[in-house]
Amino acid sequence: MKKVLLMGNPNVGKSVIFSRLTGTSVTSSNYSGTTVEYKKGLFKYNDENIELIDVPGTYTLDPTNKAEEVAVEMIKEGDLVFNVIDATNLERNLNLTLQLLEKDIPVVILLNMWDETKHKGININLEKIEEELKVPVIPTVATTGNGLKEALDHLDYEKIKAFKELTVDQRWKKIGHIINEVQKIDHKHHSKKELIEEYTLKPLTGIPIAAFVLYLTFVVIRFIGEGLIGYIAEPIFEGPYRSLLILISNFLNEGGFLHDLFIGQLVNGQIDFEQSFGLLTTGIFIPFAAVLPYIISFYFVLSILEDSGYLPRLAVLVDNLMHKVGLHGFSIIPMILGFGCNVPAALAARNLDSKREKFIASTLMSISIPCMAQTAMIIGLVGAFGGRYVVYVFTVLFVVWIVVGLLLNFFMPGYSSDLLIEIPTLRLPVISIVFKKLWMRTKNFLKEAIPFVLLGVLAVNIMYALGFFDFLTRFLGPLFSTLFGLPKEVISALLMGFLRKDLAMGMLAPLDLTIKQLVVASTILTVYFPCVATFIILFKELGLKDMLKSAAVMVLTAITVGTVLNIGFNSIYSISITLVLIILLIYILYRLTSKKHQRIID
Amino acid sequence: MYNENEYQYILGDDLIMTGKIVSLSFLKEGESGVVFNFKGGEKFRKKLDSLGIRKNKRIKKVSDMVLRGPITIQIENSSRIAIGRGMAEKIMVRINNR
Repeated sequence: MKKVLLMGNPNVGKSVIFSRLTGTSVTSSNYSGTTVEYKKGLFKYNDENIELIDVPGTYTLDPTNKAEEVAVEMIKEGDLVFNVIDATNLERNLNLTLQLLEKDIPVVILLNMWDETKHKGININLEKIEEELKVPVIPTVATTGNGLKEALDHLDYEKIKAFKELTVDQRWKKIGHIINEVQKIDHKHHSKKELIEEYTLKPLTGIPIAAFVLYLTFVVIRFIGEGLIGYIAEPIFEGPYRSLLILISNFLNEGGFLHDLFIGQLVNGQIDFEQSFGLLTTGIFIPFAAVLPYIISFYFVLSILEDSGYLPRLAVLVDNLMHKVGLHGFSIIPMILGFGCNVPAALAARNLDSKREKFIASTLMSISIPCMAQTAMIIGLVGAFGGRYVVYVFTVLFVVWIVVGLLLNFFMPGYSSDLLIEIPTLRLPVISIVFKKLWMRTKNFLKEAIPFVLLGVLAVNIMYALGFFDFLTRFLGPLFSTLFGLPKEVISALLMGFLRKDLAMGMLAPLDLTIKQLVVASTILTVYFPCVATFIILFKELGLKDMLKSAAVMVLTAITVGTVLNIGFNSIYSISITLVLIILLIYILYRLTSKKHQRIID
Repeated sequence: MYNENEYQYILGDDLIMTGKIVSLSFLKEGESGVVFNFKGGEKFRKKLDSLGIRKNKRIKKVSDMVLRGPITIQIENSSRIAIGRGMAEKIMVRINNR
């Protein structure tokens, strides 16, 4: 099968072209031995099967990072390169093109964003550029699909135009020469769009815009999520699915082992989707009816934000704050992802530069970012007592995020790298591509998270049957009861939170807790451990040692925060006491680990 | 080559210009200048080079984030790049006397 590589600088519309050319048979995987992800898709052209590979965005083949190293490796495996270049930024893009032309592989150039050259007063002479580069150059507009057919007609282009390898200076000189020959720029005044784009970056206007965008994001996520639950999920579960379960329940007989496993406990003789705790009742209801609708709406909004080019602007605005906690602006991405589901967020943290950043980002994300399922439960549990308690919980989480971040940054050796990113122009997302992305992400979520949910419910049911929870509750209950002021029953819910936090919160609902206890319990649940699925990812990404360290930070923070909230729930001092205690605990932890360090150095 | 912040240099054969060399972080929002040189090492230069930030390129400072946040520049006829403060301080730019 013919292997076609789609290569180009970041932000040139490469992935839009990829989406347009490939069907739904897209898989994304890691390049062997690395954490660099790439996408692969199949399509048929003139009865020939073609494999299209979306190579990670690269500025140069003289690698400056891991993604670029992978790109260089991939060239060796391809049969043809489709080099996508941004027509409005010819000079910089040609740097990669010339380097590609020096390699031993045929190259076809897709001159993308062709429509935008007119608005920007850029004139490119197509004949001349083909003459200079000596390979086919096809103008394309990825967002509408214009020119892609012509590009495909060059799929069997085989001529290799191996230019002589140049030095960096020689190459820029040559690019300068080509630009002079093929491009003319009419100077145009600042367009309105450019002005708006600059407003999104300046502090005085950018920060209010960012606040508005984030507010809008959450409103839309909630609106779509509730809509999906109210109009699709609930009617299905309450209607046909309940009838089916009643049949199964009658068949299995209440009280039997299989009934306990699949249906769970009946509440007032009825199946209660949130409290029955059977594999087929709660085990199916929570992921599909309570979480999935929010995940879908979250990914929908995220894809729009991504494709509009707004996210890098957000990174610039928060870079400063992120530096204080040892990260840089771009780590806002895993943080935002975490609000959807912690699993993809932990995966996104792998794209950060250093091991230190990965550790800090995943730990902070796991501690303080409640996923959509948790948020829904927090709102359901404490929101019933008034919105201000929801705000209370989120404020505490934010303070914890900052404090733990400051401490990790202070005590961990090393420093955070500086931000250096291209800010793409703002553009309207192509709706068909947004939906395609949404489909891919949802599919991945179902594949990666659902098995763990079912496994979690299964494990809990078995442990419950074996009396494991009773044992732990009796053992740890008194301690936690005094520290957190919570009744013993809550402790089993907290322990259960390791497997699925959303389920754990569901267990709290029928316990008739006071608002104070609910706030304490839901905060502890958010802070102390991520769900088992996230945990496995943390283990894979950080390694055993760092994962355990991260878990230690989580437990320490949870105990501190829980105790402080219990003591000073209504007092304004509670937050300051939290600060002091967390500082002490983490300081001790790092003193212990760094002492070993010193000994080795001595 | 240049003395303190004042210097003279020759552009082409006959055009003599004067200017001030400052680090990128000293530029005001909306002000532009020409990249003069870099204080960082080879790796740093390579990174900037691949992003299109090279000697003699005209750049404009678009924004300067509060509290020592990153600086965003617009490279003439090219892209917008956000640069952390530490890096921005290592990029020297020639500006006309204010």
